[in-house]
Amino acid sequence: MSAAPQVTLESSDGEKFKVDKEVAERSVLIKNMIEDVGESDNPIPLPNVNASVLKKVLEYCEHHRGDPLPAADADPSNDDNRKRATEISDWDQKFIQVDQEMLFEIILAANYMDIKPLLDVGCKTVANMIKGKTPEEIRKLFNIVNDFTPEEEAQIKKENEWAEDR
Amino acid sequence: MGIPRGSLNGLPIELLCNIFRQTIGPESPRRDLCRLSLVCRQWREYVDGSARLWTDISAVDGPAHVRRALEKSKGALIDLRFSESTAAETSLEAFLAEAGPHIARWHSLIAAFESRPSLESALAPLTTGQAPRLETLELCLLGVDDSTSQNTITLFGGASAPSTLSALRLFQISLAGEPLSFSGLLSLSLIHVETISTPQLLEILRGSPWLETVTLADNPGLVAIGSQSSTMQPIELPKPVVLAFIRLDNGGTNCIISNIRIPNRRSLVIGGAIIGVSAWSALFTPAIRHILHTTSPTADLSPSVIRVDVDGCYNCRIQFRGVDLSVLVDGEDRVQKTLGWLVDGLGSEAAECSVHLILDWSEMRPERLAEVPPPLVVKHLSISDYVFGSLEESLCTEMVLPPDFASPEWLFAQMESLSVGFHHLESQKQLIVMLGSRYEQATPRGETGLSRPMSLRSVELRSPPELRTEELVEEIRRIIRGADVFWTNG
Repeated sequence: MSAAPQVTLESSDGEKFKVDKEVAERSVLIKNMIEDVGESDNPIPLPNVNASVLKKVLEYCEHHRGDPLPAADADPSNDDNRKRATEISDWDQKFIQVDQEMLFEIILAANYMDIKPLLDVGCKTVANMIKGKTPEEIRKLFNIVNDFTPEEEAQIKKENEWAEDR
Repeated sequence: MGIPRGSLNGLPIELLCNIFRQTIGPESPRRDLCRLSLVCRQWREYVDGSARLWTDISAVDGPAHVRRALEKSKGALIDLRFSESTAAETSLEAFLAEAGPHIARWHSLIAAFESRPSLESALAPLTTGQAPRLETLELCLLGVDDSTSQNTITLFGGASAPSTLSALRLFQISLAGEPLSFSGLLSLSLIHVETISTPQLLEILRGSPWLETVTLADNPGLVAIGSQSSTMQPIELPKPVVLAFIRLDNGGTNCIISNIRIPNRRSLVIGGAIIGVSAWSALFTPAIRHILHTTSPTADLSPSVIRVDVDGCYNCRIQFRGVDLSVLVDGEDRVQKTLGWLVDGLGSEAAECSVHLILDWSEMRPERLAEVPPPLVVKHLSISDYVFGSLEESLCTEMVLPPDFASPEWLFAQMESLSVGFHHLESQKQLIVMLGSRYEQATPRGETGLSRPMSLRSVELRSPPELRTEELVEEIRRIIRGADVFWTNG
């Protein structure tokens, strides 16, 4: 039996990862590059993803290697997808339990490498962190500075007919 | 200085807005948008500038926000929600009057409202105009109104429904005039729709080849149409279909099912009452035969197990190859007779099928229900002492008396698995007595493995943790050697 075809990916900090082509092709970016360039022994450079993030992304791709690929025109913001905002599989939930810096890096990498399901898991995770929190709690959680003046804040509340008890 | 990578505000605007959109719930989009706007200037700019964040428009947020959202959503498709019980500041008429000029970008309308003198005018943009990009329409009339004529409306000015319309749900709302022409429906739900007739429904089904879900309940106009239906071309529904026919006229159910072919059936739910009529003559018989002969269940359905779940005095649910038959029966023999439909429909295949009888909450006698029509046999029985108070009563004397192998009346002879729910310790002793009678009185002790009066291979014991004893498991294993005996949560 012949071994599964493999490709080599190179992270922004120069680390090389040899993975099954099937795993690497969970990324639409890499799939298109392989189709355009043809199979080659040269590593595929990923200048926007460092080694630690790429390792994590490949862990996700390896686990989901056999999953059906999402439709090319699937809109993550459409209503059906939004209804599933809290629905993240157990494995994915454990996978995405990382510190915030890594979480945002994974989202950026999934966006750059065009891995829609991973992007979806990342965005849903952040959305679930925001849901139900007050503005102050959101600022505290994500270390965001409140740069409004009291007058501006009052104006926004007025515009939005803000009700404190909501 | 730019915002560093690794922070939420370092994400590109389109990703941040995608995240924001997933935090906006239908209950009060205004509240959720306001929370986001109050975090920092950057978020406020994003919220203000992103049309897609303003597309959920709910009357509960009041008229000012509705106007603002209609403006800020710009050219994006909009999802409208109205509920009379929560929209204190906005009437249905006022809400739709605001949204009416934007009907070309309606994506969904979900409205629940009370009766009024003229629903036709209250729903005016929808009844008189076209909604060319509408995908979901749910209209629910709250409460019960005696005058059905007030609940009758015209949709889309009587023209064809938009091809984008994939989900239609009407509750206590009737459609006036000729049936609408639908072409893109994936889901259809008509509940308490007084005026829908069988020919009208069949025309809707014929024009909607991509249907995946059809729910019909309490529609008095869906009755048999006799010879008219026999001349119709069969209606093909090629996608996996879930059909539910609840409390319809038996003849109407039969007529509708008999006119459709479902090559990839996923499930068919029929709910009906056969109290006071002969189960054999109940008009579901040809429908069940038709379904079994003209359709195939999807591959994920078990092909040979007929699950019979009897609950309380009258409820009986029979599940088989995606056919889910929920009926009210008023005699124990009717369960067997209802199973006879399946035997008739299956023909020689019936010999390969077995019955799983679930009686955990039933007051019907298991020994009567075990008399399933041949060639079916009961291979699994699930019982509980909850209803009867004791297993001795539940399983009755047939299990306790020494077996008569020659008698065809001897029950549960081919039962392979037994599941018993305990709520009393006394029941555990009774089970040992019953199994001992079955196994140990039939042959000399120690030879039970050679001549088993029952084919039991598995005994599941269910109870709260405080009633579990390993002694019971060991005792049953001693009686039925080689059987898998285990406790589960019950």
